Amino acid sequence: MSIQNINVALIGNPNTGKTSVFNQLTGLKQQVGNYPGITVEKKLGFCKLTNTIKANILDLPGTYSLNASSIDENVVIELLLNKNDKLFPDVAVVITDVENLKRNLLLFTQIKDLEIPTILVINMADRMKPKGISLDIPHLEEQLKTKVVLVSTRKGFGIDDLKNQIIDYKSLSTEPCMNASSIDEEYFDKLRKAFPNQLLYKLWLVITQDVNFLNLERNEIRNTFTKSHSDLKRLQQKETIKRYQFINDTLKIGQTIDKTNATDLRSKLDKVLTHKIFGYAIFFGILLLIFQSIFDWSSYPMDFIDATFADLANYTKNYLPTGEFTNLISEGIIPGIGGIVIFIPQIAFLFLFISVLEESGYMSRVVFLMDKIMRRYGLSGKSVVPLISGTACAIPAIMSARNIENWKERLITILVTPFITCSARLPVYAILIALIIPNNRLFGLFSLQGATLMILYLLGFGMAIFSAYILNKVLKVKTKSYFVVEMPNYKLPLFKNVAINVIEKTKSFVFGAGKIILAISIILWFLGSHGPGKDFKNAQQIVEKEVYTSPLKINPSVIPDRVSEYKLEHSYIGIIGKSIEPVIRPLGYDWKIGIAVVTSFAAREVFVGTLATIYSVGSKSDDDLTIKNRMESEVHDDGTKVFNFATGVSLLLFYAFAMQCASTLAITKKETNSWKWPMVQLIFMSGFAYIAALIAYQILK
Amino acid sequence: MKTTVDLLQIGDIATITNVDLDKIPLKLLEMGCFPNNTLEIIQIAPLGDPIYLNVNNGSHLAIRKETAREIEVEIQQK
Amino acid sequence: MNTQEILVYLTVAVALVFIIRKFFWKKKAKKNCGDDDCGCH
Repeated sequence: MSIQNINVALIGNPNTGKTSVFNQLTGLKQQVGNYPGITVEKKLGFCKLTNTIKANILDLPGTYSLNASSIDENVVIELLLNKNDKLFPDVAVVITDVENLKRNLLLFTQIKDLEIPTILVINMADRMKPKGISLDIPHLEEQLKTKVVLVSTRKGFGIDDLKNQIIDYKSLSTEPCMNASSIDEEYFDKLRKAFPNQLLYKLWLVITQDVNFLNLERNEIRNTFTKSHSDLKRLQQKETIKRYQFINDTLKIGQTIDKTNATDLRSKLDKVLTHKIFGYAIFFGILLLIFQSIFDWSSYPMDFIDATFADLANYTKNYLPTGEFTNLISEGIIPGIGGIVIFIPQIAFLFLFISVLEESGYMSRVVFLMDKIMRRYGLSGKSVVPLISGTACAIPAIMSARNIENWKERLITILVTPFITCSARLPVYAILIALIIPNNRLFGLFSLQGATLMILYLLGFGMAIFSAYILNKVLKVKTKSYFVVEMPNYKLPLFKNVAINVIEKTKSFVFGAGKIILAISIILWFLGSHGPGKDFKNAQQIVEKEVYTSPLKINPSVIPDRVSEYKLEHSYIGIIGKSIEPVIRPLGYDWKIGIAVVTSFAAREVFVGTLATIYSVGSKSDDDLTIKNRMESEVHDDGTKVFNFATGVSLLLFYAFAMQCASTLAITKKETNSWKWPMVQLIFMSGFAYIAALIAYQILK
Repeated sequence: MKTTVDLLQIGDIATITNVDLDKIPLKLLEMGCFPNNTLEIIQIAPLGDPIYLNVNNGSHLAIRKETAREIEVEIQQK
Repeated sequence: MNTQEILVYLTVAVALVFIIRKFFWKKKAKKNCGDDDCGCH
């Protein structure tokens, strides 16, 4: 029995509940990846329709029409134009919102013109009654030449109908539902004659869009049929109006709205949430709640994870046969994995809040409230989303800047987002603050340590705004400026959507950054426990000789510790550390901190892990000490503490400002398509961090 | 009365009479912002910008003043 | 060299290869936005 595979593409405007339908169809059988070469998220899911028919369901990025205005939207067109793509849909499912049918159908008429079998899903059908909407389905099906499926992902109906319709896709009409070429008969006739084998609407898209489609042919088409920019736009306007006329005519009979039955939650909520005082108060309240969850609530699971991994490392050390590999597991791999797992609570909380805010429709109101304020600094209201997401991780944050239409505003947003304190800085801050700030309360209320953390966050935010302001003055980018943001209906977020989103995002963060962190900890451990030459090999004898021949009577019990110290100093990592010491000495760091700072350029959170690895390689006794205790007991040769106040502050400032994340640089390169901007970030941010740390240490020491 | 969208007050309902095609993004057209459609001003942000509209009876969106200036309208009622 | 040491060298080699591939063998981006108006932002 052979299994038949159907390719299904879900297409729809943003905010139509496309992803809910996707989640309902596929459950957790999803793969999230990237389209080759670009960072647009590609979500592919699987659904068993019958015993012999399976569907590959592709959730395409939300788009308002087939006229692309972003890379995300380009993906949709490129797929629909390329019949050779292995994901080219056998059937397209266009998702619409019952409350926004008129506008949502614009995209539907365009898809129909591509002569792909198309199903029309009218989603959120449970809203019809409260909104007083009734539909004449047979009329709609006849006019639109399609099958209509009413779906409510909230109430859970319609999904089975949709599945049956997908199975039956061969019976769908592929005939366009209207004739758009009548906007300029003469022009389109010529086009048709020149390329009789191609679909007219496809040709039109190739002329008007900047898409990758049969490159040679495109140039040919363009050369003969090119028109001036404003002529093309005039035609596009005509086309749009024509489509709307058709939709209006169809809906005149197909849809009736009884306004007397409508309840209007939207305008009531809008009045409060965009109010000039309450609006801002509520927004800052929500921000406080987010920070509370990151600082406070996540500390409980984090402490638990920390303790569990310390126990695990001990356990493996004691119960596995002694040897090199056991050491690697207990000193390199387990602390390495622990350093990743500990992030899960914070990341999950952040993605939870962000997806609830997005799903509910509230984020657009924030964009609306903040636009004018942000514009003063060369940013856009839409920069609020990247700046908030930046507290989780700069990588998804920089990607979310993509829907900022104005290139200059988008570029500035990308450039300043890494200043926002991301969760990777948090463990560094946490351990340094615990070391240098006393655990007192201010006025018996605010914890001094908490306040310090708050100041560091504000510092990052302030620096982001300040550099945006400077960049806005300095950058000379010619740009066409416009700003359109949809204000979607308020919706109670669906638990399933939020849960899947949080799980997916957390998973991709943990496995993405996690692999790098783990690999680095393994390499670091190796470099720290191996060394070239005789000094490393004969450490035991050298130290013993020194101790026994010393005129001072040294207690032989210090020998194991001294040997480890000596070995570390003469290991590969010790040699590297010593060689960079002159550069970092003025900032108050010794060579061990120097190593941690250098490895942090792969990913900041490596700092704590590196010190943990270095110190646990460097000490043979007291194996159950936590990393904090080890750092506290580190002393210079003259007996003074390594992590004193001046060094601590200097490190905090360095980590607040330095561009230390290779993955962020890579994503900036991808999003700006140039090495120039990541280099600007690296040099400017790290240079500033060095100077700030230098000044702080020299004043405080 | 003929005017442009940036000069309207909250609650005003107007009919679009003309849009400057070279200054208006296509996206706005696709959301229903073209001649003969109605629009309603729902809210104006606290600092006077952006403007929150309901276009073509159902398309809710916010645009900046500089864009609103390019949309000519005829006020229907106050 | 005993088994444990061999395992160590293997693991370290795998980690090294992974890091090098991650940071130095970047695949070329096919097409993306630039500063000019390419119609995709």
